[in-house]
Order: sequence, then C-alpha cells, then structure tokens
Amino acid sequence: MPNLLTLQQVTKAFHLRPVLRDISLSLRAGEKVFLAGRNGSGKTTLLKIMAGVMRPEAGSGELAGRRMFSPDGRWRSKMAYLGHQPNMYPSFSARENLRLALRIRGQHWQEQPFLEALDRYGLAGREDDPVGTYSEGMLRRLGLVRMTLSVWLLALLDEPGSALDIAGTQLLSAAINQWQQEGRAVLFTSHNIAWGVELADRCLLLARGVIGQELHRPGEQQVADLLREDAP
Amino acid sequence: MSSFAVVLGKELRLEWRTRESLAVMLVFSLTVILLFALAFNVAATKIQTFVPGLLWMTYFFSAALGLLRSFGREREMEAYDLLLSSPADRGSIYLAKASAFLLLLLTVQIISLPLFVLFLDLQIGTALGPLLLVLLLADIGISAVGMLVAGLSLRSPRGETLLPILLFPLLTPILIAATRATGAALALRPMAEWDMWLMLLFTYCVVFTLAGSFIFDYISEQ
Amino acid sequence: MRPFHTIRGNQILLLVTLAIAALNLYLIYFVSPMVQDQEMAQKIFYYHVPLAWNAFFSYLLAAVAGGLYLAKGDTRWDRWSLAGAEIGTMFALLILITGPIWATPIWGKAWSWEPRLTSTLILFLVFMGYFMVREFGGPYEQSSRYAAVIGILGVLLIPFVVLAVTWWAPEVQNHPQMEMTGQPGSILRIFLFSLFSFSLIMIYLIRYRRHIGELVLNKMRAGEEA
Repeated sequence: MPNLLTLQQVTKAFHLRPVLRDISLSLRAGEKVFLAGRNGSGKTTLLKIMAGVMRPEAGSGELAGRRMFSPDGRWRSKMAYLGHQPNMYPSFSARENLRLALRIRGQHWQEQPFLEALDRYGLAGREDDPVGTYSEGMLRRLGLVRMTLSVWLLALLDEPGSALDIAGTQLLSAAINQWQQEGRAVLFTSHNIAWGVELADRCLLLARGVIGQELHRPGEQQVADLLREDAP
Repeated sequence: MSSFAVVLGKELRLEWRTRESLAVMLVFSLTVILLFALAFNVAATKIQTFVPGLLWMTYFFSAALGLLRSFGREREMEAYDLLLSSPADRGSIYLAKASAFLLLLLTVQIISLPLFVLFLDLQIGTALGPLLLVLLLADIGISAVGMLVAGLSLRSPRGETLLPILLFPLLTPILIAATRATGAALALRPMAEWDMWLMLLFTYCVVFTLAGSFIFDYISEQ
Repeated sequence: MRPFHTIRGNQILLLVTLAIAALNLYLIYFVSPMVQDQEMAQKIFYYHVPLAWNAFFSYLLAAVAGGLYLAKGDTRWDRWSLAGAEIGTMFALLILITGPIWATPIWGKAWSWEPRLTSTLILFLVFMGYFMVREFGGPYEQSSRYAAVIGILGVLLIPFVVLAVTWWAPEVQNHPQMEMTGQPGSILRIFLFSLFSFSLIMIYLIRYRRHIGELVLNKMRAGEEA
C-alpha cells in the first residue's frame, strides 16, 4: 500500500537550537501511530509543522500525493489537526465554532450529524453555550466532535486524552479505532503510555529531536524504559 | 462558500457577539478628543486649523487599539491555529480580516463623527461627501498595513509593545494625506486642488493590500 | 570562518577605500572652490548627498535580501538583509546629524522639517521597528522572517513618504541637494568622486557587517551544540 504521508528530513529550530533534526517518517492509510516522547522532545512542534501551523526550516513532505509546506494550501484539506489547546473562539457557541471549522475546510454544515455527534460525546443540550463556559474535558470532547464531522485522511491529535475522564477516554479510543477501520490514519501523542501502546499499531519514540526508535506493538514497560533512558 | 467569506463572516459575528472592539474604540476616541480639547482649550482658541490632525490622531490611536484586540482574540485558546491548519489560502484570510477591520473602523468613525462635529464646532455641510471618500481610502490603507502588523504581533511574545512601534511609522503617508485632504475638504476647496492626496491614498492602498496578501503567508506561521 | 581581514580581497578593499577616502577629504577641503555666502558650510554636501544614496542602497539591500530570505529560507540572505538594514540606519543617522549641522548656520535653526530630512527620519523609525522585531519578535527563525517583512514594507514606503512629505509642506525650502548637477565642473567632479568614495565605504561596511553576522550565527549554533 502506498504511503499516505511521507516526511523527509524535516528540521525545525528555535533560536538555532534544533528541536527537530532531519525527521523522516511515513504513515500508511489505516494506521494508528503513537508518537511518544518526554516533555520538550518536540512532539507538539512536529505535529504543528505537519498541521501547517509552524514553518519548518528545511525538509519536505507529501500528503495524499500533494506536496506539503507549499504556499498553495490545498494539501491541508487532507489533514485535520486537534491541538493541545482547543483552537476555538471562547465567545462562540459549540455550533458556531464547529460551523466555522467545517466551512473553512470547504465542507457544508449539516445540523443533524452535528446534534448526533454532540449527543454521542455527551454534550447534548450544550450546543448554544459559549465554549468559554466549557470545562477542559468538555472542550476535548467538542474537539472530538469536530474531528468526527470533518472530512480528512490523516488526523493529528496532540494529547487528545488529557483532561478526559474514563468515559471520555473510552469514547476517544473508540473513535480512533473507528477511523482506522474506515481506512484513515491517526497520529497522536500522549503521556499515558499504557493507553497509547495499547491503542497504537506502531510507536515512534521522539528523543532530542530525532525519531530514535520505531516499535511495532511494544509493551508499556519497554516504552517507559526507553523514555527513561533518554533522560538527560 | 469561499474561505474569504467564511473568515469575514466569522470576524463580523465575533465582533457582533461582544461588540468589544467597537465599544472600546468608540469610548477611546471620545476620551482622546476630550483630552485634546481640554489640552488645547477649545473654548477659547481658534482650533479649526488643528481639527484634521486631531481627528486623525484619534482615529489612528483607536485603530491601534482595535488591532490589539483583533489578535488577542486569535491568541485565546489558540483559535488562530484552526484557521492556519485549514486549507484556506492565507492571502484570503488576510484580506478577510483586513476587510472586517475596515468595516469596524468605518463604523467607529461614522458613529463618532457627529460627536466631533458637536464638540469641535465643525461645519461639515457639503464637505460630507468628500470627507467620507477620504475616510474610506485612508481606512483601507490603515487596515491593509494594520492587519500585517497585527499578524506579526500575534506571534511575537511582546506583540502588544511591538504593534504601535511598527504601525505608526508605516502609516505616516496616510496620516499626512488624510489630514491634508480632510483639511481641504472641510475648507470646501474644489477637489481638483487636492485630488493628489486621494491619488496618493489610493496608490498606497493598492500597493500595500497586494503586498500584504503575498506576504501574509510568511508571517502567519510560527 | 577566516577572520575578515586575513582575506586578500578584503585587505585590498579596505586599503583602496581608505586611500580614496583620504584623497576625497583633501579634494573637498583644499581643492573644491568655496561657494559664496556658505563658505565651509557648503562642504557638507559632499557628504550629505552620498550619505543619502548609501542609506537608500543599503535599505534596498535589506529589502531585496529579505525577500530572497523569505523565498529561499537561506540564512545567508538574512545576514545580508541585517547588514543592509544596520549600515543603512547608520547612514540615515548621519544624514539626520549632518543636515541640521548645515542648516544651523545657513537657515538659523537646526530642524525646520525639510522634506528630505523628514523622510529620512520616518524611514529611520521604520527601521527602528525592524530591529525591535529582531529583538522581540520571538525565536530567531521567526523574528528574522518578520524583520524581512518590515524591510520590504519600509522600502515600498519610500516613494509614498517622499511624495507625501514633499507635498505636505511645499512652503518649506529644500536643502539645495539636487542643484549639485547644475554646479560648475570643478564642484561636480569632486562631488562625483565623493559619491564614489562613499559607495566604497558602504560596500566595505556592509561586507564587514555581514561577516560579523555570520560569526554571530555560527557562535549561536556552536553554543547550542556544546
């Protein structure tokens, strides 16, 4: 199967301190990949670069046959990004935020799927409240509603499990599994190693700006040990 | 719907939701006019020669305030990243944000102008038409450069202090042209005498709007 | 990186620049004719106009190299842009100093909003913003991009500033710079020689500043790897 995404030698530095060095990786359709790493290892930076929010100093990529990082933004239509922050406007309601998120992707707004998804993620009845009044966990759930309604081939999820309760985490796992079955790819980060390794087909270990290890269905202990070894 | 229309709609709806920038800019404009009037003792002096400058200084400061708000909103909850990670072209995001800001500026000015007329004893009468034309052209220029500078400040750790320092020198041609044209319009001079200011404003708008829509891509990402 | 002055080309450039500058000084003060009414004060125009050219070309370099940096992402262009901006600002500052020096004896006051000086002041402030952005615009990779944008906007602004400021106060007298071309040959030749001399000074300074800029980047990189 051809790769959905290939990144080649992506480099990013802050004040000339390399945060990512020559990152090359590839993802196939129908893959769930866990991007693990210590705090400050560059996970968020890598996701933001792939989302088009940050600009790499060097490197190239291809997503679903389209050249990434080009001024023509069409490559981003195949990707959806759920950041560590909610990426929403606090004074907008859930409906307004999601309508904006879909329309700017060129999708049409449909009320019915929205209400259904809202209900599935336990937010029914809150569609007209400003999201500024939401708790962190509710914002995460709303982010999942956004991912559910968006059309994409690759999802980039930065700490999607943070602030979620047990029921929320189960909903998240179920969603990721369903997306995989639909033949879409998901790349996610998490500090919950047990949850990450159980869910993922593959685990990429990011340490000091390079992908040090690539593991297929590793055990939790194995990943935890490797992360500890990486300690400076 | 085009991404331009989506972002423009979002900006207007967001402003309408709280009317925060509008209120802040209006109250601020009034305050500045009051301060100027007190400082120059309007009641006792012939202030007419200062009026165009007074008016535009006020509009400039309130524009800077509005720009600060406009990027503050994108920073909260990192909402800006939603726009950037979408397939929308950055040039059209820029144009939409600048257009929304233009509408905001015009609204502030149209509401506050009658108050200035009252406070500063202006005789507008037939000067209204030319005056509105000057307002429109100058505001397009302010919005075009303002949105670029706001885009820079948005991503800078000390953006609030950077914004006015970058903005005002870049707007000096607008300040000169707008005050001169306003003065001529209020004095009911025939337009042929001062249309070079309108041409200057118009060219500035075209050049910087085009430059902005090309350059915005390079400043939107971190 | 080899020290700047151990490179043969730079040595020659420095020596030639110094020799020509010395000759230029001699020509200006001992050979060029005195202009009536102005006496020594007129001599400043052998500096003033070349300084203005230098400031303009340096700023142009800052904008063009900035544009190339945005397009190609190669830090070498950023170093050229920074060198142009800094040397340009130095020349702009010298204009802002020499202008009032001339105006004080001739017009009786130092600052009278002469259009070219006013334009220079505006541009000087725009480029102050350029340096502020470099300082406060976030990490180097981001702030250098932002600075390039300010440089480009600044140079696009030049024609607008010049026109606006000239029309702004038509009653204010210009410094008689452009009249240089209408001067007798004895003055014109020395003026052109001065222009050449100052251009060499600019080229030398920009090259040297760029070299230092590269050193700074190398040091930052090395510091991070150590």
